[in-house]
Amino acid sequence: MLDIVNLSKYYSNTDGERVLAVSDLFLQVNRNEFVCIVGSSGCGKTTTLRLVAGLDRPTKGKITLDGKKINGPSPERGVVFQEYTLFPWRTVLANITFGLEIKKIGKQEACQIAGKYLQLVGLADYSRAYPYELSGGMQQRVAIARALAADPKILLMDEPFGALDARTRELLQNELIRIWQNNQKTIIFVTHSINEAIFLADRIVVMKRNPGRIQEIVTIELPRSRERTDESYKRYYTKIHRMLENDL
Amino acid sequence: MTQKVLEKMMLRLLLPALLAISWQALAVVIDKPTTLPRLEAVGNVLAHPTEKILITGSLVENSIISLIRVACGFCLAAAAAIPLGILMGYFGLAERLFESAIELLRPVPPLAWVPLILAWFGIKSLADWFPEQSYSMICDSIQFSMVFIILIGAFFPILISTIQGVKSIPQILLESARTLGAKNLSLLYKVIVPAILPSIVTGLRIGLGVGWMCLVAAEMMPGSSAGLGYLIWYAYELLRTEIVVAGIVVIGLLGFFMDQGFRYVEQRFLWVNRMR
Repeated sequence: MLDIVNLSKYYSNTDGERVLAVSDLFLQVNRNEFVCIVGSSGCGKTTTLRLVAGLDRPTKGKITLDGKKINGPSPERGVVFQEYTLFPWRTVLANITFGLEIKKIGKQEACQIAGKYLQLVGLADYSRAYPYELSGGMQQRVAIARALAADPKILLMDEPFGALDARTRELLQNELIRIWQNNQKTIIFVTHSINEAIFLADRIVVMKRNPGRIQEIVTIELPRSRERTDESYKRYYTKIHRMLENDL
Repeated sequence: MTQKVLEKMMLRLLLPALLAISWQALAVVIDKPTTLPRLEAVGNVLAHPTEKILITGSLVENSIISLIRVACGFCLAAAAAIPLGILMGYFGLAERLFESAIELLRPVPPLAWVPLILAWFGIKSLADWFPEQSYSMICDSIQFSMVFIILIGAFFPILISTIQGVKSIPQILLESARTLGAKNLSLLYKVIVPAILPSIVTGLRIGLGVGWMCLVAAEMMPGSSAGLGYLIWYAYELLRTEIVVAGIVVIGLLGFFMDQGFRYVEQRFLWVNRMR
C-alpha cells in the first residue's frame, strides 16, 4: 500500500552544511498494518515520517501511496505530532471538524462525524471545551480524533505520547490499539520507546544513525491484546536494545 | 465585595483628584485665567457640550468631526497594514522586499510629513469628490491631508503587530493544518487569520491611540475649520485657555474610552492568556 523506494533526504544544518538525514531507504507498509519506527535521536525517523506526510520533499527516491506519488501534505495521510497542535481558538468539536470543513462537508454531517470520533477517543463530554482546558493526554486524544475524522488511508504518528506521563501513555496505547483494530487503519508510529513499539507494532523498523538508514526490521509475533508483562517481551526488548546500543 | 470595588475605584481616582485640587489651588493663587484657568471655567465649558463655542461648532460637533477623521485614517491604515503585515510575516520574500523601506519610514514622526502632505493634497476634502451631497458640512471637514497624517500614525503599530502575530504562529500548527487539507486560502482564513486576530486587535488599539494623538496636530494644519485640535488652537489664539483645557479633557476621555473598548475585545480572546 505505502511504498518507499530508495529514499534519501539531505538538509542544510545551521552551519550551511549538507547533512544526509535519510539514506537509501526502502520500506513497504501493508494495508491495516501497524509499523513502528524506533532508533536513537538523529537516526532520521522523524524525517522519514515527514517525507511520507509530504511536509518535506525527498532529495532522491520516491514514496507512493496506493500507486500515487506523494508530493505534498494531504488529508489522506493524517498526522499526529508530539507537540500539542490543536487550534487553540477552536473548541474540541470544531478542531475535529476542521478537516471536514475544508472538504466542504455540511455542518450538520461534520458535527455528526466529529461526535463519533470524539466518542471513540472517550471525550464525548468535552466537545465544547477549549484545548487549554484539557490535559496533555486529552489533547492528544483530540488530535487523534481530528486526524481520523478526515478519514485518512494511513495515520502517521510522530512520538504522539512522548510528552505524557507513563500511566497516561499506557492508557492511550491501549486505546490506540482498540481504535486501530476497530477502524481498519494503517499506522506508522515513530517512538523512542522500545516497549511502546513492542506493545503496538506488527513490525518494528529499527533505524540507525550517520546516515539515517534501516538497520533491521523486526516482526513482532505476539498475539494481539498483548500483555506488557509477557515474558517474550523481554526477548524482543533485549534484541532491539542491543541493536540501538551498537548505534551509540 | 462592593467595599473592595469601592476601594479600588478610590485608589484609581486619588491621583486625578489630587491633580485637580492642586490645579485649582494654583489657579486661585496665580489668578491669571489666560495662564491657568480655574476648574469651574473649564467645567462650565464641559457642562454645555452642545452649545456653540466661539465661532466654531459645539464640543460635540467638533468631537464628532474629529472622530470621523480618525475613523477614516484609522480604517485606511488597517486596510493597508493588515494585508501587508500578513504578507510580510508569512513570506520571507515580501519581508525582505519591504522591511528596509518600512524600518526607514517608521521612526519618522508623522508630523514631519505635514509640509509634503500639504503640497500633495492642499486643502482638498471629501467634498471635492462629493460636491452635491447634502451632508457636505461633514465631507468638507474630511481633508485628505488630515486623514493621511492619521493614517501614517496608525499604520506602523498595526503593521508591526500583524507581522509579529504571523511570525509567532507555531510552525507545527500550520503543518498540521496542511496535513488536514488546508492550503492557500483555507490556510489563510481558517488558521492564520484566527491565530493572529489577538495581535491584530492589540495593533489596532495601539494604532488608534497613535492616530488619535496625531489628530490634534493634523487639525492644526491650514484649511482646518473644525475638530477638537482646531478648537484648541483657535481658543489658544483668543487666549481662552479654559476652552483649551476642556478640549484636552475631551480628547483624553475619548481616547481613554476607545482604548478601553479595544481592551475589552482583547480580553475576549481567552485562549491567548490561557495557552500552556
